[in-house]
Amino acid sequence: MSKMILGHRAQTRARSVRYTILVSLLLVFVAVLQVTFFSRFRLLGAVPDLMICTVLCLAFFCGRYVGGVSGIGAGFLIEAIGSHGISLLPLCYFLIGYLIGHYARGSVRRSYLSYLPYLATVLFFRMAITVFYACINYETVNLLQILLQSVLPELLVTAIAGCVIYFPMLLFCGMLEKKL
Amino acid sequence: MKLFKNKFFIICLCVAVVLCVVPSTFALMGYGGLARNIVGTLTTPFRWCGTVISNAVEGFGKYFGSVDALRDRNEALEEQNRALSDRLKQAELLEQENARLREYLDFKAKHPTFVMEEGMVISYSSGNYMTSFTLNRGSLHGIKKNMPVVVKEGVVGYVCDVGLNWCMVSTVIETASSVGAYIPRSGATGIVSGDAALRHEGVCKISYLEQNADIQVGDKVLSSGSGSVYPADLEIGEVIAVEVDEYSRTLVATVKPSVDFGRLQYMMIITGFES
Repeated sequence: MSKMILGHRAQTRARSVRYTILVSLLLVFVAVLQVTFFSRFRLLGAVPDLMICTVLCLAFFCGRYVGGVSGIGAGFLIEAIGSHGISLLPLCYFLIGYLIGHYARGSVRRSYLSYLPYLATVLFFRMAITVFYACINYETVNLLQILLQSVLPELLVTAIAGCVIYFPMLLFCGMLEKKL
Repeated sequence: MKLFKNKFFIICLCVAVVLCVVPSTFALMGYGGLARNIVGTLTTPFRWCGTVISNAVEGFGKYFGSVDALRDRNEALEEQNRALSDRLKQAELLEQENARLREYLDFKAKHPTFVMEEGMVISYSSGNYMTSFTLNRGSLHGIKKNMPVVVKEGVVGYVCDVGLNWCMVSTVIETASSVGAYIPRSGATGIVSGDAALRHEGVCKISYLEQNADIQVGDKVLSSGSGSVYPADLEIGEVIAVEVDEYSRTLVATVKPSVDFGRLQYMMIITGFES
């Protein structure tokens, strides 16, 4: 009996390790994509926050634990390779991942339409983060200018990315659930 | 509130706060931070890979972008080329006209009493040899019958018919044409006229030369001014053969006109001169 329990635990641990590796690779891939490709070919003059969309999808499809942990990882990763200075994203992304995972758990059906309100919430959060970063990075802040030049373009391209990324993430999370 | 009492949540929150506070503190102190350094180092190959792919994508995009730019440039250059070709043709025409008018200027300097009107050949005779031409000048331009027509090389012929804005010129090799002429080397005089037999060869004859007249092959033949149609001293041609007319006991010479009738495009109609 104890052997069976130990075997089951080992299986669960191996599963968790594989799960973590795959999600980590996904996060690294998305982070690299964001800082190399999309930061170069700026759609509408802004870089979409692919990481927040990925965390949203992971939380939406895989739950609050995966959402929370991947949020911390994503925030730290993107801060580490893509910016410097005050670091706030691990906390923000963790809260997003955890809370969305928690509330999405209560959804009867996880469809594209039920995903969109969460995306809107995340976009609002992203907007707040951008405004906050702009406020601490610039000495004098012209809120209208920040809104027009940074926040709105970023909001728009992140919304587009969030709408599109749902489908590959649906496949990825489906594959995770099936194989692991 | 139950949510925030969750052990997992609290642990993760603490980790997140640490991951925010520690790197921020290091950054504010001017240090990069160990964890940030590790993550940066580990992800460098991936970033390098991403940048290489981005460069390739950019190069691909630029290639097609440059094709579009080259196509536009090519179209602009073709347009410019067309415009320049048109201007070149115009300039060539003006150059030709200028050269022609300069020649006539020299001609006019030699014959200051001549009043001339330039005409352009608009059609040729329908015969096998082009010995009459239609010019684009007529009575509207002051052209009248029997006015002499010349080019800088010499006599072409005379106006045999006139319309409102056209006139027909009969050349000196036509049978109906006769011009008083002389040989400047010896002073011998005669009449240059067309000959039915010689016309097809593009030559004419000078007849009524005295039997003992001094005339040789290669002698120049000029108009004498007698008959009041042609002014004096216009070149008609060159003697290419001399023979004796047994019946009239005079000399007859074959004259090759100095004008190449096959290449005429512009000619001058002498509308007035002092004899």
